[in-house]
Amino acid sequence: MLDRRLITHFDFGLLFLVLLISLIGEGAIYSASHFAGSPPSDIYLKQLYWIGIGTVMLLATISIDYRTLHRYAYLIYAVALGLLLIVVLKGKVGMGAQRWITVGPLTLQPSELTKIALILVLSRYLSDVQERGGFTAGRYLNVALLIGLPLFLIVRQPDLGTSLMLLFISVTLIFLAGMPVRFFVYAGSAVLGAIPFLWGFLKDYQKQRILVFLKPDLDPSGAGYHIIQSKIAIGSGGFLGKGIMQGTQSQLRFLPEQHTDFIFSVIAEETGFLGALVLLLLFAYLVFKGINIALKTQDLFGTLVAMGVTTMIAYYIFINIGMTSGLFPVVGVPLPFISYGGSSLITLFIGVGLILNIRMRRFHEG
Amino acid sequence: MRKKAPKDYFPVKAYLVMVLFTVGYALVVYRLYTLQIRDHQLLKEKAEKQHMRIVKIVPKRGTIYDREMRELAISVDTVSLYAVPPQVHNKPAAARVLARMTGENRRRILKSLLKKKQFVWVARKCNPSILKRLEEADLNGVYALFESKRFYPNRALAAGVLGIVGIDNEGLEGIEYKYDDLIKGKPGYFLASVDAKRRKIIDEGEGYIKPAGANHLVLTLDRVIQHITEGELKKAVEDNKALSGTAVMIRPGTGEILAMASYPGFNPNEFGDFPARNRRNRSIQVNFEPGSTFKLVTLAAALDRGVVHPKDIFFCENGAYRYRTTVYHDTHEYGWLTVRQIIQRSSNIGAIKIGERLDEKDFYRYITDFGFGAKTGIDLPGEAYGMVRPTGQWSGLSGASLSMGQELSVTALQVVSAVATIANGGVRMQPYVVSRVIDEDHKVLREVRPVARRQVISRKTADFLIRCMEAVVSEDGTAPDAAVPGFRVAGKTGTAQKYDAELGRYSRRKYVSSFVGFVPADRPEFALIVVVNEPHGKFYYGGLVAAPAFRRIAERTLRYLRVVPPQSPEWVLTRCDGKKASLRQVKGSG
Repeated sequence: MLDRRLITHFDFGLLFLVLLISLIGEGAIYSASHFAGSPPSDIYLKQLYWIGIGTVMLLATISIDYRTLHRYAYLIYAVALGLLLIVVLKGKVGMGAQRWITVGPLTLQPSELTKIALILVLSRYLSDVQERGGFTAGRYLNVALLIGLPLFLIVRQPDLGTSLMLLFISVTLIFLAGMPVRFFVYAGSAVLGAIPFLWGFLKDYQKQRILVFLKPDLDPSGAGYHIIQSKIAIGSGGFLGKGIMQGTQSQLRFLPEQHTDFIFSVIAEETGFLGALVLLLLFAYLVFKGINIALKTQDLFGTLVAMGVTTMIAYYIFINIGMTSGLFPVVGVPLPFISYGGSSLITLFIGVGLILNIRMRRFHEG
Repeated sequence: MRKKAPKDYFPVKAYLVMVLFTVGYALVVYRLYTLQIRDHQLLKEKAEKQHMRIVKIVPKRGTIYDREMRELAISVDTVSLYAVPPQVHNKPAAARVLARMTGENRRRILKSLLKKKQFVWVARKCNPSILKRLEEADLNGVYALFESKRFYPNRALAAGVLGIVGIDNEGLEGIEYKYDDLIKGKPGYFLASVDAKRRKIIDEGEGYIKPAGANHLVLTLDRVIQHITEGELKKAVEDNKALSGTAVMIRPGTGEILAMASYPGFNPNEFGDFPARNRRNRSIQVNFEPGSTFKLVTLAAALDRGVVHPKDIFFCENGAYRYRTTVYHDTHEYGWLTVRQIIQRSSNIGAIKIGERLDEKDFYRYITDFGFGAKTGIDLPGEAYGMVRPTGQWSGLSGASLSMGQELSVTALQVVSAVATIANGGVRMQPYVVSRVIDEDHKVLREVRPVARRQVISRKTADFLIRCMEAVVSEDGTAPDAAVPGFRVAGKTGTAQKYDAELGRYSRRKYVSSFVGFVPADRPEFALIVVVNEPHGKFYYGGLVAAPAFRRIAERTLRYLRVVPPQSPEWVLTRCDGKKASLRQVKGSG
């Protein structure tokens, strides 16, 4: 399988880029978990270990032709749904939500892996639809079901951030796959109309996050604390930042969740506007590369998968930074390759593996 | 097999998505620009403001030692718990756990946790064992830090002198107050949130300024003598069913305070459990009318001024003397008395007649020269002045009243200081309680040297007064009970009727009984006053109420100081260690 052409078409630049961003994250986590006088934390080592596992997973993903994945898309989707069901039945409860399952020593977050499964299954179905002559009413319904099933299971965990991400990715894929624009107008109106009803389904802390986002000063020491502290951290960094390991807001632990969802604040505080911009450029380059690969891919399935993964990464970046800088309400979305967390990292590495996979095999017509 | 991507429209849509992302990124970059560049100054100030949440770390307060370097007040390490309320999740539950852990009131804790603050105390100065329980409880937003707490190992001993310390390491009374700046040390600081989420106490690193060590004090007090004095004072007050009492012991040659006792006292470790009046240092903060002890001053002035000669005799009018508008009485009827006998028997009429010979201004000058009507300047806070009217405010009877110790008020320290002046050959020494200030490494920073305030009377006058005072403790004197077997004791009794403000005259039931003196009379080790306020037992005469306590304190102190009675052969031996025994002293002992 691994002939020379695969090697020559392998995008080492993309792999290097991803590893570079991960190592920046590694440094940020080290900084965020090491404070003057505190006992050294080993989460940066754990993250390094996750990066290693992620790389292995990435290589494993590359070794399977993505057309094989095309064949098993529904199976992978079924497995993901099964894992989500297990979470519902006997998942681990943490921070008011039931999101995790334990496999041996590991804690997995199946909603993360669902993103890959959904991208694969939607790409498969949507490319099939195009092949069979376009959308019909029944096919709309099937698409809705494919998206709706995992979404329902994740919403009731509850995991607002991941649900929104899934929704965004799906909508983008449907849009790209040729669903008529008027559909989005209808769907958009429907969602707006449903907001008052959806409000009732939200958990208290979710409602509060949204309210506090709209008006953080409602509760500066309570729920608004995250947003305010994060904004102060980023803003006090200024143009050049306070220096690595010198961020007073993070080092003094004003910042909440600073090694996970709010890691960007640490980077922005310590390396300033310049550092944040460099990181954003690296991210933009990553996204640009992803879209470029998608566009150069000959088959629709490959294009959609590559676009799905790329949009996933792009949304992550956008929402996470938007959240930490106070543009959006706080929804638990990690910063890709940077935030501490195994499941998300592995999902991303598998996703990048898919893009690399498509990149090196796109010229094979099977 | 697979249909190619519909090239006609797909790239357009993909570019649309790309444009969407570009807009999104631009939005984010703009946001970062507003935060990091446009609003940088404002947010930086906000960040700095958060840093202003600094917490003072109380340094270890310096130790207070007695003259033999025995600890009177020490500092012990304690653990204080504080919370960062926004980080505490389930506040009612946390308050419950903390209340159980600290024994504090649950509702009070909850109230602090609900405050919109970044720092609240949960419990101050707990036993360090609480650290382990805190860690087990694993509460979010609750942290610990070390604080030092004052502890008085001898409990009530010398409490009135030592004073008390507030929860924030501020000396509130006594030496703790007076020397606060020297012994409180330099506080350290840390940012309240620096150690947020950290259980361990930080003692280095950024945001932490280590507290600096404090100096220690060495007092002139002797723990043993203080203990003896307090015990005997308590016994005197209780035996005589009195309200209160005070006693002060001073070294006449130096002014060092060896003991300073007040009864009833208090335990400074739990000072809140005692009424505030118990915290008074009665030796310096309570005024009283001295009564007969003051006759010494009258005689000293008259002798020193030369208006009375030691060999003069006075007719004591057989117990009733009309002076101007008033008739004065003696407790016994006396005829002719020598000057010495007037002191020995404490004749009021004799004292008035001695005083009559004094010019008012001269009398007043001696009174103030002895230190009455002014603070002695002892290094303790809250000292009372006492009250001596200047001559311009005297009535026609004032001279007579003052001669026998009325119409003025004094503190016990003033009286004992005046008597110590006589013991010291007429030189009044500055009384003091702190002899040395030493630093952390016990290097001496400040050594207090005895200061002679003034030669009040001549040595000759003093020597004669001492002989008069020795007569007081003889069998014919007013205080044979003050005699210490084997030693020459000099002293004077005082029994003052208290002025009853309600009746507008002197009470017949309320007295202040006192005895002041020194031992050995010829080479005094110490001067001591015992004052008993309002005895309601069988007696009220100073000679019967205060003198026995004086004797017991003197006796035990002399034994403790290993002062050997002069007639024993060892005396010669002890005097061989540098101090020459003079002929006069040997003769005087006979």
